[in-house]
Amino acid sequence: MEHSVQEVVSMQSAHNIKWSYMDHWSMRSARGWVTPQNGPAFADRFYKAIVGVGFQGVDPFEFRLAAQMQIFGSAKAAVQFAKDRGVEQFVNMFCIRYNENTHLPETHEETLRCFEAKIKRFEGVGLESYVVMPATHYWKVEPVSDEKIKWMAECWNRVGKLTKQHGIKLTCHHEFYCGLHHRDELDKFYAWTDPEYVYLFVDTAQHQISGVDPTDFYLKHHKRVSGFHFKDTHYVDLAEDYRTAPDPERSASTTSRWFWEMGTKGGLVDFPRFMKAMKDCRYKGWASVEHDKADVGGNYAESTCHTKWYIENVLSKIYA
Amino acid sequence: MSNIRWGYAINQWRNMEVDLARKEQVESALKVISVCGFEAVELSDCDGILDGPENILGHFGSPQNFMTFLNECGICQVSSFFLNLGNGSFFKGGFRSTNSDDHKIIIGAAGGIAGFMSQLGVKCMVPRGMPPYWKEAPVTDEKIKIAADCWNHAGKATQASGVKIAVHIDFLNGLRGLDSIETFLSYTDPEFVGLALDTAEFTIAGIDPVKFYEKHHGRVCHFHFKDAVEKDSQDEYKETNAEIEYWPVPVTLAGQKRGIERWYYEMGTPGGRVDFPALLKSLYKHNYDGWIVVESDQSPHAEESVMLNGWYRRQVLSMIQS
Repeated sequence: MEHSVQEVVSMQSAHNIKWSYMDHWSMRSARGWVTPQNGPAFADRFYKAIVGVGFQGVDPFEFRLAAQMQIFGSAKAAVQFAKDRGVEQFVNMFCIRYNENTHLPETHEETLRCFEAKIKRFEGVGLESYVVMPATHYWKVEPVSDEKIKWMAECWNRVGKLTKQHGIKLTCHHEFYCGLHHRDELDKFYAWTDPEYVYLFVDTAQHQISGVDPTDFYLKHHKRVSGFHFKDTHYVDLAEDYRTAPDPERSASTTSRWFWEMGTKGGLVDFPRFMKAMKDCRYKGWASVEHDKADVGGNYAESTCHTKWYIENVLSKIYA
Repeated sequence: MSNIRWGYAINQWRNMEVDLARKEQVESALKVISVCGFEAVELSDCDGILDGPENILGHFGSPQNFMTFLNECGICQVSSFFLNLGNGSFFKGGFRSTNSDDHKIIIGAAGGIAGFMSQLGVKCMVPRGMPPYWKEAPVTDEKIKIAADCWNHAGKATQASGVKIAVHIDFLNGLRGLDSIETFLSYTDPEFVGLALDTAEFTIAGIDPVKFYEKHHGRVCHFHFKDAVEKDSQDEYKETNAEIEYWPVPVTLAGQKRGIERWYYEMGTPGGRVDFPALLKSLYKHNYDGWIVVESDQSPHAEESVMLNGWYRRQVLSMIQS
């Protein structure tokens, strides 16, 4: 039976979870592979593809959203362009271009000023959260001490308080190579940050790679969780790749592709168990799909369709 | 009351010899089709391990096993089967619908394939009416009559399995142009032979698909929905080698002299010439009961094309009320 757009929207709004898509997208063009930021025609294709397969929101990188605003002339126009194609909203913006050395207190003032500028720049987009990597690369921080973790916490408490004044959550995403890697480091960070100002953004693959069970971690901190990156991995870092300089994502010894879409052979994350945990915690809100490096031996459109297929045919039967 | 169901042709995934050659490639394509909102798949005799009874049985063991595989991917059935039967393809024996001596073999093959395909849910088989125009010209009334006779008998043979022949009209085929099509319709029995209306092919050939359907809705029993931004304004269908035989799929050379590498586009493409909302309204008006198969052959990126067509169907065409 065919449902009208209004019926579909009505059905989706009855769900606990709305699905957003983290924009790493690339597409074929006459000039080779390009991103949606190469012009309105490419943005048009991207939004239609994402909405066409059933996503409701988009999570932009800061630099990608900024490009869209330049192309369309304003935040409002960029948002409207997406809405006209069925995107409900831009949900979580992945922030870059701030001093990541948060274990050094002398950087904090600069970081605070940087986020003041972001708030001003992206006003009117309607974002729910800013996603940050709360510590720089592990190899730059180590030895990771309690004192350094406390400085990190202090930094984000201040930034989170600032963003909250503008209705935006500050939420922390832990790359496997960031200075908060081990479970005890993560738990300390959340013990020393203010739940009112600092949220947790659970990336299933990143934690799995670090040897941190994403479900156990979520269950312990679920009240702090503001969002997710659903993605898979085929590897646990057993060779201390997380300490590799300069960039463990690109120069690690284990693999050139850490991240995979859900549902692939060899995937290590137990997504059904994770979804059951979300159900038990009665999570309501956005969940995001992220494909990072899908173009290493594949492409984003294919990975995205496969992961949405997995959501609809496996995960949504557990919790939706 | 109309009963429209949406399928997607898997042929766009099959450009190279290595495509659709393994089960996991097929599984990938089917899941993409399913999650973008299409419930069935159209197969063709160019589709790798899905190209007909021998390969399907060889790779899956039985029609039932294949249906289980489809269902597990989220696809409910095979909507239709496109085949190079009677169009002179030397990969298929070179038999021509325009040659009476070949009819017995064509009719026998049609009946046999239909018997197998009906077990997969297929309700219509979609052959091209004739060989390519440049090979068949001049296309005379007599040739059309012979081809019509071929498909009348083939239609009778397939009807035994509950499968109807839907002759596909395309802009490079001998059976093209409004006059030829109407002559063909006058020589064929509506009980056994219908038409597959391919929106892009009609448009490129200079036939308005909406006007055609309004006039001949009783004869159209299958649709291919795809868009076109160019017409064959220079009669390129007449040129030698407008289409050449190749494996796994024929190669279109028509248009390449003026830089046309791709004739077919996704629904909703800027500059697209097909008025899909108007056509869908016409289908509802005439209580169309059957499949609309979206096709994106010549797509440079199969998965993205399905996503874009899924968007158009869900966001634009779903607003058209029955």
